[in-house]
Amino acid sequence: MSVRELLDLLEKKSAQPEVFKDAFSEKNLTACGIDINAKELSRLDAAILMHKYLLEIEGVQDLEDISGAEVLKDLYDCRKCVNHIAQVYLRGLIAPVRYPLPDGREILLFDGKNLYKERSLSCTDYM
Amino acid sequence: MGIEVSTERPAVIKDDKYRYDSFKNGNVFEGKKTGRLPAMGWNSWNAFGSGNTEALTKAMADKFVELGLDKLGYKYIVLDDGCYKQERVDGKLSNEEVKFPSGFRALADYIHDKGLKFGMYNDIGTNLCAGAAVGTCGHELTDARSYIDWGVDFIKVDNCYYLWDNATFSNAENAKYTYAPNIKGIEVEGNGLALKLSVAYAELRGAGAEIKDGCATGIGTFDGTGPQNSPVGDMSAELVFKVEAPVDGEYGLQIRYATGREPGTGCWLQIASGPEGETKIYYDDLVPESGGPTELVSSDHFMIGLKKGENIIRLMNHRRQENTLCSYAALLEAFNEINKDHGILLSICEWGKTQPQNWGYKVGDSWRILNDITFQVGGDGNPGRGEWASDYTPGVAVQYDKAVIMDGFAGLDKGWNDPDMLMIGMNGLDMSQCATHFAMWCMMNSPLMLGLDLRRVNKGDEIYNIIANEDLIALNQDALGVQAKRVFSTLAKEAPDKEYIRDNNRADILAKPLADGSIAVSFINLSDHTWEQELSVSIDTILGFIGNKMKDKEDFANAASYKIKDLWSKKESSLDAKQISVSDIPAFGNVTYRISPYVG
Repeated sequence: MSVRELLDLLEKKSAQPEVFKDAFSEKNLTACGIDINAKELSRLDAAILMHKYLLEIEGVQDLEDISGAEVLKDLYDCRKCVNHIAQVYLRGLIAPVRYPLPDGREILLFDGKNLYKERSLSCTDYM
Repeated sequence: MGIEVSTERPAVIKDDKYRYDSFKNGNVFEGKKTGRLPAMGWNSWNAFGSGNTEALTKAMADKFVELGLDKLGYKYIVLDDGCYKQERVDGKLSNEEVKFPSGFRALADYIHDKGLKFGMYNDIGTNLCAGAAVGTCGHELTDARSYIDWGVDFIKVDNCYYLWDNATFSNAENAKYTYAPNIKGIEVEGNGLALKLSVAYAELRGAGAEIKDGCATGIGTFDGTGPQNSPVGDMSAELVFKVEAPVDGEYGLQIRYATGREPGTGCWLQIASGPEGETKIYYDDLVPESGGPTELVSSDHFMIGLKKGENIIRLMNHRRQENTLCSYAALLEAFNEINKDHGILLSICEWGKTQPQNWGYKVGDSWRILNDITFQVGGDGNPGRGEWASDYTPGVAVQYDKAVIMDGFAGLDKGWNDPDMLMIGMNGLDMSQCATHFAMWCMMNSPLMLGLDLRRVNKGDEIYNIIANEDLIALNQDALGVQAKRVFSTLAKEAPDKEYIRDNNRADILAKPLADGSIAVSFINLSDHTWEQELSVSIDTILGFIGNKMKDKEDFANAASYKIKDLWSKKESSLDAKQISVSDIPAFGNVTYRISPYVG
């Protein structure tokens, strides 16, 4: 799916097309660091766009307690995306990725590209 | 000659001043100003995240003056991430035109015209944390010129997309630069000497490494981004062999090793040898990869120097710290080159990852000690949310728990530990928590960077009365410039000033010497219930911890009585005893006194 395809879906759901067009204009999305012409929608960009949609189009307030999203072991890898990820994950809008470990266990990730494997984290984070 | 950095490979270090062995010498680099008190101002991130704009920034500057914050010492208005175009234009940084239509010079002028100072943001990696591909790496001189042209007084510099570490958004395999290979043993030969030594004959010095399956592993600097580890003590490890050399001369060193690209096992090796305390670096680079962390290979012969008698051979990798220092130094040196009297304040923001408490003082005015204090930043119309505590880095108490034992790293001759921006005024914190947050930051000489939409503040309201408490600010900005020391904690076992305590069901007592011979003492209840028990500390105990930093220790110790001022209620009283006691501190509350000896 591309960025534009997700935007089309969201726009169809929106009851306020004019507000949507303004909020999700190319200029505004570029200012958010999102390439509207990207052919592949990344999971992080999807989280940002869906969270923005909830806040600005549907007027849905953020969940205050996001600690439940800490099951995603890469939650804090993208410091600037944490709240976007947490809000869409906790609302069940984007499912986690299950990442198998060599010992047969698995961990939950949101993106996984930048998973920290620091020794200091491994004892608690891989439980 | 300065350090040369590039995007091709980690810097080639030709001057020992950038090396780990120089971290403790107390010398700062040219252009790093000493004698500065913690910065005070406003930063856009907690308030508006990437959504900050020129209009909002101007509104904050207007509010600074309207509220009189400038008269209280707040002076920097800092644009955080989200203000640049996504790509460079003709190789240069430029303003994001929707949000900052007039450009940065015009905004700087607006801020300067109000008697305030202007701050900006960048990153030592290739990109900023919010994604724009305009990091300073390899562009230091160009960017320094832009910042000076724009009239920047302050620069906060982040660490995302860093090329030589597994930082946020970096390639995870960059860990190959930050750890040495796993090492099984060495062979030394030459001048009649022929030794074969396994790691069983070596010593693991420092912290973080271990012997596993007959190999030394974890040789490097461990990651300080999260709150797991104490900031006090050794942050890195070395594998050290002792060798008796028959004569002065060159010797061949062969190492049995296995490489990896993950934390704990890397590909970068530093070799130093010579008599203890006089070692010299002989190798500092990647080694050929072995095929995996358990695939052992033998190296070619490295040539090392040994002196007749006892020598040590140090196998190590301090590049995690050295590379980051070099990157920040490159920016400082670029500013120096454009204008040697630039005076730009450098706020290091690598999140404690490379233990900047060891090296940050050389180049920076402050250094972040952990990842962010909140990840739920606000926007226009949304105050965002802060927490008191969490299992990771968000939370007043999390940041405090680490910073409170880091006083030994801070000072006027160094700079300041930075437990991140203030969350006062964000949702999620009540006024008692906000007041204690402010008292903690003031006592710890932390930078006081407001992080709220100031349009929600009015003179005399609850938030204003916290952030404008002149008595508290005076502690932070006291000319003596000494971070408070924790002199007591209900959960400390032996050394309250050094023990890393993360259980918040406790109360602490901090003490801080002041320039006029007074001291400040803060009783802090970190728990969620009223601390009913009496908390008490003697003058002798306090002086035992901070007496060596006081101006007139004996005058203070021998005073017949003291004047005590409660810095929140403003009530003054006398103390005739040599014991200070407080009880019934509300949940998350604090009692903070300024205590002065009566003269005569």
